[in-house]
Amino acid sequence: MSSWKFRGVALDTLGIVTLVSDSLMMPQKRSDNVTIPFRDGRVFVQKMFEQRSMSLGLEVSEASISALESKMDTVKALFGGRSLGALEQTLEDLSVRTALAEYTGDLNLTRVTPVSVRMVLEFIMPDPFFRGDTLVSDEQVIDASPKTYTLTNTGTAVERNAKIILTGPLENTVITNLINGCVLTYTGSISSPRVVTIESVNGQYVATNDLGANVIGNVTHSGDAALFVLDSGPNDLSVADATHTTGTVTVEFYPPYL
Amino acid sequence: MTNTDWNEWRLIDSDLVTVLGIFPASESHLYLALNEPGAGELKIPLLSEAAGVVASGQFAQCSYRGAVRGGFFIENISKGQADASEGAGQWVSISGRGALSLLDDAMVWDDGTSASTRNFTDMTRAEILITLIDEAQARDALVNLSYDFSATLDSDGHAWTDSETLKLTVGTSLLDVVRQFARTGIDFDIQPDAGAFVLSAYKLGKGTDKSESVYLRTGENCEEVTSDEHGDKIKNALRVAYKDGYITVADGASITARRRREKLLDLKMAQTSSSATTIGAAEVELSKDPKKSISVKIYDGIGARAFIDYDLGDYIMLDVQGVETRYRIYGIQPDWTAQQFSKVIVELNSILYENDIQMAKDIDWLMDQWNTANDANLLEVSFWAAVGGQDSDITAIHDIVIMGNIIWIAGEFKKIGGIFSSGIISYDITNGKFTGYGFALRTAWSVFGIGYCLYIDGADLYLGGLFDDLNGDTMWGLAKYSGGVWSEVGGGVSWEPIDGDFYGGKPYSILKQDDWLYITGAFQYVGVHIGSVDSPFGAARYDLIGEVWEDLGGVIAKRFGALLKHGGDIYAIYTTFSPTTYYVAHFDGGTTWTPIGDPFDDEIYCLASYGDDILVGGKFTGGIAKWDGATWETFGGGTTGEVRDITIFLTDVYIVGLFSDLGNNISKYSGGAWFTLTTGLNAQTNAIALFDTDVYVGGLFTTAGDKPVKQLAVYFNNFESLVDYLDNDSSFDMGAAIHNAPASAISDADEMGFWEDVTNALRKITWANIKATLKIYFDTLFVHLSGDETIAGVKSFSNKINIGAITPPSAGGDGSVNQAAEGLSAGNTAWTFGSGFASFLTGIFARGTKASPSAALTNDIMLKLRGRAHDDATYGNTSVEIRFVADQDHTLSAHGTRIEMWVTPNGSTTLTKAITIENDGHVNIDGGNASTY
Repeated sequence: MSSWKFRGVALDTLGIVTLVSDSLMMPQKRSDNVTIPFRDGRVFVQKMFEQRSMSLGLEVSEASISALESKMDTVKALFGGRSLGALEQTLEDLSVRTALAEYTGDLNLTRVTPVSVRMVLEFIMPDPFFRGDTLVSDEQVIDASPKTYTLTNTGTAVERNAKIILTGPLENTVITNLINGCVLTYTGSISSPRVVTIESVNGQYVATNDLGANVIGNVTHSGDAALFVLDSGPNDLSVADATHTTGTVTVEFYPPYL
Repeated sequence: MTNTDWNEWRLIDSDLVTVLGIFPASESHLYLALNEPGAGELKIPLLSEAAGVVASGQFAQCSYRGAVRGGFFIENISKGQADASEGAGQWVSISGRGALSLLDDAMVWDDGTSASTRNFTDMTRAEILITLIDEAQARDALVNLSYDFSATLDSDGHAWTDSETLKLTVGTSLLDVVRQFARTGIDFDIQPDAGAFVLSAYKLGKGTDKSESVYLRTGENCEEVTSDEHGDKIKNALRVAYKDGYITVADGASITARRRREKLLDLKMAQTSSSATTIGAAEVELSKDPKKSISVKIYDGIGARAFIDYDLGDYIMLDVQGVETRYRIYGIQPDWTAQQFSKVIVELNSILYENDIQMAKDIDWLMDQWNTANDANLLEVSFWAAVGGQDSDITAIHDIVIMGNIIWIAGEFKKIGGIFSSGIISYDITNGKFTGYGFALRTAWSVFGIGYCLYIDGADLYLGGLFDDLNGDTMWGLAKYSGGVWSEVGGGVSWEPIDGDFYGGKPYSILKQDDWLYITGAFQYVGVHIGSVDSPFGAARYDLIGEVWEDLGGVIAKRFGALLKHGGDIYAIYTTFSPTTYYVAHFDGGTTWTPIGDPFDDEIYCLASYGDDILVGGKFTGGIAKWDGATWETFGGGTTGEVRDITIFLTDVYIVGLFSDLGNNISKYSGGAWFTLTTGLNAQTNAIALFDTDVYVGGLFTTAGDKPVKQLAVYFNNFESLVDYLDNDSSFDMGAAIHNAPASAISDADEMGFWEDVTNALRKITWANIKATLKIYFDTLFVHLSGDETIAGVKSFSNKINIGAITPPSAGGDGSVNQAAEGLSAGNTAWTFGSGFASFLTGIFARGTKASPSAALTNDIMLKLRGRAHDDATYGNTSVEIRFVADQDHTLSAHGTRIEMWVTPNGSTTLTKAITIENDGHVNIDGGNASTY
């Protein structure tokens, strides 16, 4: 069975961990299909994944009541934090997946014995995806136009927030995902050794160069609300560029898992 | 960028160029309205980077479906820093007005004088707007704005045809100027894109008619269909105040249905009850019923797709459970939540409401004309004038249409206005010139062809008539004039099958809808040059794209007449035979004509759209009738004669034809009554067309307003139009007109015209004004001698003066005191009364100048008393004289003088000093022995 850590603390050091709802489940989707009056059924609307909730069972048993009270202080200190913390799952194959989670429950204790309590640990993950701990970093030298290659998203979810690094010399660079039709365009020149980084910071898309200048005005996209989308599995990418000599396009992301 | 792209908001800095970021928008909406800035709003997390940099004056630019669709200037920033939901309630909501509000940044600037208005003369509205924008940009305002129209062409390449004389109040924002111009029918739009805000202006309105291709249907794509009705502004009985009193205009049906609701309408600038009635009736039409609006909420993921399938200004079809109504789109409001496609609220106005808007525009225009005229002391006139002059060779005029400033005339004629052109000719209102087209229309039978009908489609003109040749090119009965070139349409029409000869068909009516050209008339075959199609009863349509004809006449014998497009549908007159019946029929768009209402008892000649109703004119009992959607009823009490053509201005109905009970062959129905146009026309009139309020008519008549004309005339209400006409009409001899006018003594209230060079327009002035003006002017030239106008009460006269009735015989007499009459002594006497006073004559002398006098020196003469006499040949020189002479150089203490008496000895003409009274009192007798007493 998977083992779990929260904020770096292995939960099985606190007690016996049991699963109530685990990562084998998938986050819910939100939104609803559209009702048209006087029309049977509804009109399909593409859904988005809702934030994810997860519950773990924990039984804490100590030799004495005072030891139990001391352990519960440790538990409360761990889960009482107000910020997001890393919830880390180690799978049976020892691979690790991490999500940012917030503890939202009240521990919901059940006193089994005077020195033993059971509780349900309730987590909310605003970003519903677990991330693999190995960064996928794919750098391609754009020495042809178009330069085509395959980039594999090893996760089970669609990657919508990959970091894209453009290293000059590049000019009017157009990155197309031939699988899903998403197109990211950087209009203008990036001379060597300038580097432009396009990424999502706190949910907002930004584009800056290595001198700190905001160059988001040079970025346009098509095909999705996200700037660029990598489907789960292999993605055939095409990069068109007016220079296509030694410039590089790097795509980085931690694989997302449902 | 594709038309399936999601929406995205970008933050543009206040320089309107720099893109600062992409908003992490939670929910947003954009409100786009025709000719209004609209608005926008979006919500972003308080803790986002964008929230930290957002500031007033920046622009939020919205893209959707692959293109920029609008945006808004950030004017309101509302931060929810804490609420019951704590962190989840921390949002920044930003909102503001849309792109068109950029024009609110600049205003009508003063002209450097103290004038509170800017005056623009003889300019197109576009030219005025361009002037104002250019001025603003010279002041560094509106630096990001450009425009894609010019002073001569609109954004679609249509030529502006207006010529405005406008006063704009200094301080009026350019946004309000645009709103004012939009009320005249021009649509405006700003397309924002970072760094470039492009203003467009559409003379013919923004958008196109997509009512045959874009359907919003309940049960298919409409989430909600709602309508609102507001009756608080209903007024159905107007008391209209005009120059000479009051008239009442009321709507009986509205009063019955909604009780009598009165209002005063102040139209003091209206000169006559007739013109006041025109506006009053139109105002009643606008206010007698409740106002209705309708909106439809659409899920954009289904289609029709906003901005792709339809956009602002387009016409679409709304199908509510089988009832289809054509609407124009006045507002689009997409709302985005977290879905790919938005919910779009589309605001619609029906054709009826569209008519209201057009009528409101026309009222505004007419009121503007009156106000301008009133402010400028212009006159409202009622004046008939000939068009084309007495040397025109016209048998009959059959149709008149107006395209911008060009009047197209079709009929049976050879020459108009000195220009040879048979059957078709154009007349330029701006310069009074006719343009002919050679032997424009010829037939194999009679050399001269005949034009029967005209139809305007944008910048193109369609002509139907009896002809087989136009300007040397073979064209059978149907031609198109586009870009200065005539071409045949669809291979022409014919009465007989083609066999090498022309057997003229006669189109009587033409109409275009979508890509179909409909024609009716006396023909049996269409497309004779491209593949003849039978149309045995003279009704067919031509697919202008596919270039194929379809017969619409059916199999039942009938003859078709006038066509009408009304409410998106097509109607036509037709007559069946055996038995003879006269119908107006509705065309279903396929092959079926369905008569509406009962048949008429005699021929029908014309159709016109009148708001929601249809008017027909003809030879039937009553002569004019109205279809209200259910029945035909005689309109306005009808006429005992025939109505040949109908045209509408506001709610006024102008008819022409062959009648005398409502006026002589022309009449105007306004506010429930018929009005004559002075003495009208003396014979049948076939065609009428309005150029603003100028009424152009053609027919068989030979007098208009009792003046001799040649079957073509114009009736002016507007003095400036009349002046333009006179200015352009070479046949008008102003000198002869003045010479032949009856003499009359002038009174203070009598008026005269004059040309004002500042405004370059005719103005009037009364005799009282002239007298007062001349007095003011003369007072600047001459000193008024009855008062103390000069310094210290000294009265002066700058030129020579003579006192007495006898004018001196020579210039040397200037400044003389003369006889009152010959035969009398010139006894000019100085009277003095009172002790210590005396009458005196003084000579004052100084050397130097007036400004710098210097002392008199010895022998300088201060005064001469002289006598001269006529010697039978001339007036001799001085022959006797007393001189008052300085006897020493004068100083403050030395004023010595002497008196010399000079006489002329007998027999001599030499003046000789006789006696000197020296400074010491001694008398020196120069001519004899000196002696001292």
